[in-house]
Amino acid sequence: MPDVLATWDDFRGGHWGNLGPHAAQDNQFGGVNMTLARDGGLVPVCASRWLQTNATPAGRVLGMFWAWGSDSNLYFIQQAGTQTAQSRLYKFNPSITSIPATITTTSVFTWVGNYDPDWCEVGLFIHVTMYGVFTYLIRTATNVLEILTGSYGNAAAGRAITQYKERLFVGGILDLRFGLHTNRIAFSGDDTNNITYDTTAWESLNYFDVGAFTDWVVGLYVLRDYLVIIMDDQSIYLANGTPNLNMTVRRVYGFNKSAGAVTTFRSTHAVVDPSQTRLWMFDHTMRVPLRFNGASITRIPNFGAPRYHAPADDTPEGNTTMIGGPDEFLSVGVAVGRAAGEKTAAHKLMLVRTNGVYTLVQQDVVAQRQT
Amino acid sequence: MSGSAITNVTSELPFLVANDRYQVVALPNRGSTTSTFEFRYWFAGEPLWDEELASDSLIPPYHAVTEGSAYVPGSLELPYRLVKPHQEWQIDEVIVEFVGRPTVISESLVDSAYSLGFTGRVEGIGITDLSRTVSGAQTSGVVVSSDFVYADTANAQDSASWPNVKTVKMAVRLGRVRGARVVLTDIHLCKILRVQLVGKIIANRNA
Repeated sequence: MPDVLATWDDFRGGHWGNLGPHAAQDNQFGGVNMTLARDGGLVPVCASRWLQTNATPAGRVLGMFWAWGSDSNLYFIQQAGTQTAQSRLYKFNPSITSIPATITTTSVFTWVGNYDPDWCEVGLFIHVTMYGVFTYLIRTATNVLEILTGSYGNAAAGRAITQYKERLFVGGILDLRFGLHTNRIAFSGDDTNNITYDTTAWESLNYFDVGAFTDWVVGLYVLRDYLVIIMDDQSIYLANGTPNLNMTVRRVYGFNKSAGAVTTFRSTHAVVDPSQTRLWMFDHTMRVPLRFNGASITRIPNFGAPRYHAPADDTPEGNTTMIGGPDEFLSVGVAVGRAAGEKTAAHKLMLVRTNGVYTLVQQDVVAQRQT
Repeated sequence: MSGSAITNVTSELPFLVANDRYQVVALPNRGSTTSTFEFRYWFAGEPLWDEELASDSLIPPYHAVTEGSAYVPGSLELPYRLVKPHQEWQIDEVIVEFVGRPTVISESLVDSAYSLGFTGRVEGIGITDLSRTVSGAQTSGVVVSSDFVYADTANAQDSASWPNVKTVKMAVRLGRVRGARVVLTDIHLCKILRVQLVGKIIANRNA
């Protein structure tokens, strides 16, 4: 009578990462492209599909933003073909029941510089800041794009933007009005007339500087009552309080930067968990997501490997986004060893967390191309 | 159509956004001064094959294949299980319990003849015969079985009785090991529920 020698039917330990098949727990697994279902089984991940659009203009896409919480449209800014000093704002609804999706052109505006724009959504408005140019306001209800400006002049433009309390904050500044200040954070509000919620008012002295004057502010995020400031070398500062009244800024993480530090962080490489209790960010030095809860930093165990120095414009990985509920996210470019599974070698990988477990998905799955 | 796996690509993924329902829009091709972009849709969640949650039309789409009818090949590597002291295993077969993508699920690019299945092997460790060699006259501590293959078609999957679990027994011959694991590759259009090793527990020759 044959014996059942071994049974594997509990996969709730998730992917074993660098542990490998010897050190892994009994309920862990290796390999790629499998996701844990709610009934406990493991099933191949979804295949990606080409999102056709009715128009296909030439030009380099500089950035995109999905306003799924307001008008459901995906907005993207594209360089106007060979006219490298111009760009256009487009939008379309990515619901796949409406293929080919209809692209709507919003406006043409000037683009200068080499950095991707940053976006934030405030009610029915979308603000997009374009480093070297302007910060713009998109009125989603009327499909109007306009420069964000007011009684004191144009809003600051830079590499990161967010809304903290009732004000807009822009960091890593370069524009015609404020000049070049890589470590400066400017904020909106008409403090002179006590109209602090006016996001079109940008007083000349409404700013503060963070870190050394050569450091770049590249990410601004709101975590509970903190404004989280991330620099290009992944130093983290926390600001708390009311600007011009009692705001404090303190550094909570970071090495003293020296030559050779990895400085490839972008605003799309971090995201706030919907639970509002942590920020997930991609650590470019170890190529693994970090978890920051406002007080301490934790690396996700069993994944990652150190990265050699990378130049500032080398950003092939790091995009991190929430995809479902709390602690469910996707991060592009995680590093793992061969122990993670034979199909991980020679493939770029995404770390996906759903249904309480980590899994690895080959970037090939999402990066399939028609052209 | 018999189906084939997606190809490996070298393109980057410069941008990627998602909503709160596991739907992802990615931009693997950001275009250039003379060429256009390409956006792609991807669902980061699981397929809800329990007959699409009783015909709930609001479920975000999960695609088993790309627009070119290529499937995503999954690989599942399981951790080693070890025998007790003074024992060895003789492995005779692998039992795999799975749910095939139900035939009633409609996806225009998956026709009735589309392939479904997986490939597998068993790896044993702790072999006592240290003279076993692999190519190149190296001595290996791992013995690998021949591959086994399970293949079926999309139209042969049960949809009437739920859960439509299938059990297949794949013959494997691996003798006198002190630990083993199973590796499944090229998993497509099926959900793995359980994997078992079947054989005999025998006394250690040195006991």
